[in-house]
Amino acid sequence: MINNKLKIISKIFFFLFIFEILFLIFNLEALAQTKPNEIIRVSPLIFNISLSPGKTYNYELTLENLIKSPLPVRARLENFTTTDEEGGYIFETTKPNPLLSWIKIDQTDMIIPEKSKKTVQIRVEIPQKVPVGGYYGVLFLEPLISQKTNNNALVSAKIGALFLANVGVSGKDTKAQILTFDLPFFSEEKTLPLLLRVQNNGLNHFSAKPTLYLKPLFGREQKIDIEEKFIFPGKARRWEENIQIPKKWQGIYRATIRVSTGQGKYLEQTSYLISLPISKGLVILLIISISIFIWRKNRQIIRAIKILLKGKA
Amino acid sequence: MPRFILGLLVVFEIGIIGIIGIIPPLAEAGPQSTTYELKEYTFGAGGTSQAGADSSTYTLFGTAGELEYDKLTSSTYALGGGLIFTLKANVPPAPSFTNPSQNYDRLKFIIDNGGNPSDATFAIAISTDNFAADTRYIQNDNTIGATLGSEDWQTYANWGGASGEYVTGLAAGTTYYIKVKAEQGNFTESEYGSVANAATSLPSLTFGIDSATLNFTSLNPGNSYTDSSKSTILTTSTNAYNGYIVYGRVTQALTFSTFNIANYASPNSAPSTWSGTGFGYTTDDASLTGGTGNRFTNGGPKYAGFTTSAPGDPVADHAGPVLTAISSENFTISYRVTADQETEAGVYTTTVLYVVVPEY
Repeated sequence: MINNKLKIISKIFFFLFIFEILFLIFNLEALAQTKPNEIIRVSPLIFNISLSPGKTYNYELTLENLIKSPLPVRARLENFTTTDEEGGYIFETTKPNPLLSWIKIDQTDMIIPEKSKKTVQIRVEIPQKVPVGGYYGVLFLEPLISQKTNNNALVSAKIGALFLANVGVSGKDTKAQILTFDLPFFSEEKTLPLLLRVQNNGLNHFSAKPTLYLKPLFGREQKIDIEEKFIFPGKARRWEENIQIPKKWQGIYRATIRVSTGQGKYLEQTSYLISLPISKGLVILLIISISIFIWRKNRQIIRAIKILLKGKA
Repeated sequence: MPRFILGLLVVFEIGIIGIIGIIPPLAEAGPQSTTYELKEYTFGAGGTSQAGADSSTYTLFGTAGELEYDKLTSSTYALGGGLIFTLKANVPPAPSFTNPSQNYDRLKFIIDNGGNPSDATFAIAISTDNFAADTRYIQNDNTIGATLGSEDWQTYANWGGASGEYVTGLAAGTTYYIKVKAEQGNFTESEYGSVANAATSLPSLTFGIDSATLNFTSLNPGNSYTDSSKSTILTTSTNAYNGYIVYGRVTQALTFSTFNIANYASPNSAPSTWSGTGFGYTTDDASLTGGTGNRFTNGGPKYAGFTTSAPGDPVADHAGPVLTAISSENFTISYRVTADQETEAGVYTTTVLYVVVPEY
């Protein structure tokens, strides 16, 4: 009787132990996931604007201090250009950029009280006579976090807000061309590697939105949206995607890439591809061949099996 | 014989009755060609019979009344009359128009086909001032254009069906209004349906680091002149469609007086398993831009040395398209410093800079 009670008590303690271990594990995971590190919020992050010569434009940038102490922030405008195709940045401080002289920020050094927002006024004055085209700059917002001395390394962070300005040009003036539209002509895979390169030959930047249309000989056309990307003047962009193809994927397809350049205008190129599951087809062919052979030579096969088993026909 | 004659007469009569039954009376036939016959073409009150003048392929519509000069209308509904009104496509109800992911340059719409057949096509007008002075149209590539071309009339399926699609190229922080009309063939264009509206958000980015300093353990023979226990957590939230990228660099190598511990030799594009001495880093971003995505994580931590030139090398990123806003995404940059017994004793310092920018 006492033994039974001890067994019950030991079982209860065992389950309690398991429960506590699980509780501890899940809470540690939760703590690890929710560790708050965010310091500052910047909005808007991208000023994608169309400007006209001789006009003045006003914008607002909101900074939000997310920590529980006042946060000094420094704002600084810098030049930037883009690397070709892959969409990287080159921050150039030496190359002159007229956009930086047109932008006036009402305060470049400020202290944002704890857990509050501050609005920065930005004024863009475009001179009467400027070459039309795209002008680009980045406004860096750097929180100046208090840093103790006698450390091996100080760590600082800053956010870049982009100014993408088309001056004196509109979306109707976009000039672009498809440099490469490459899909494998023959495939038996469920994914297709797509390579697309588009060149901007105009003076203004634009957002290029590719859509791939796959049309089988019979059946419905499939529309596949591909990520939209900015292309800067004189630059090209590259898309390397693995396209998931339809389930019933066999036969000849017409693949059309349509790259929208805005305002209903688009570039288009077409190619054809064949999809045949050769390995599966060979297995099926082999099975059919063996079946035909057995059907046609069944007597000989039965006799051969008898000889093998009994030693005589 | 009389029986034979009687029989012939009966057959003749039956034949006559049959012919009369087959051939319609001339007075009832309408204008006709070899293919069609206009069965009813009179004007005036009344209309077709309840059964309608139709076949399995065609139907002639009739009117139950004449078109009134003063139609019964409200701001939402119109009670029309006449043949034209009967032929029109159904007016599509207000579409669904939302910003489910807090996007700043696109909004999601799902049109309602309003009971129209599957071959009906729809056009969508869009405005920033509820169609007072600004009326534009969603083009067939889902951008906005000033004119409505025939190609911009698309079927319910081509406008994304029940899943809908995104209209793109919108201005940030702006309220947009859309309305839809339908047609099914010539002369069937409906009025616009009710207006729906939605607002784009502002693109924003929140960024932070968990500590503004790094203090390595004193390097000595007991720890093989190595400390790899320090790290920085980068936390980012954004709704930027193309995602974000964090670049990292240092202002100089770890320096004490005229001595330094060099940055680890392997570059960001080809990090390696640690060997030798130097100051390096690794990242837990397993799909990092700038080379093979998992080059830092595949087969254990791989290390690279910081560069000193701007903007630095990619250490964390989130590629687009971002259709659901990224919330407090953490990436950990772990450091390693290894000296040797010949390294001059002293406090070696540098500054690590992280720059986060939206991808474009």
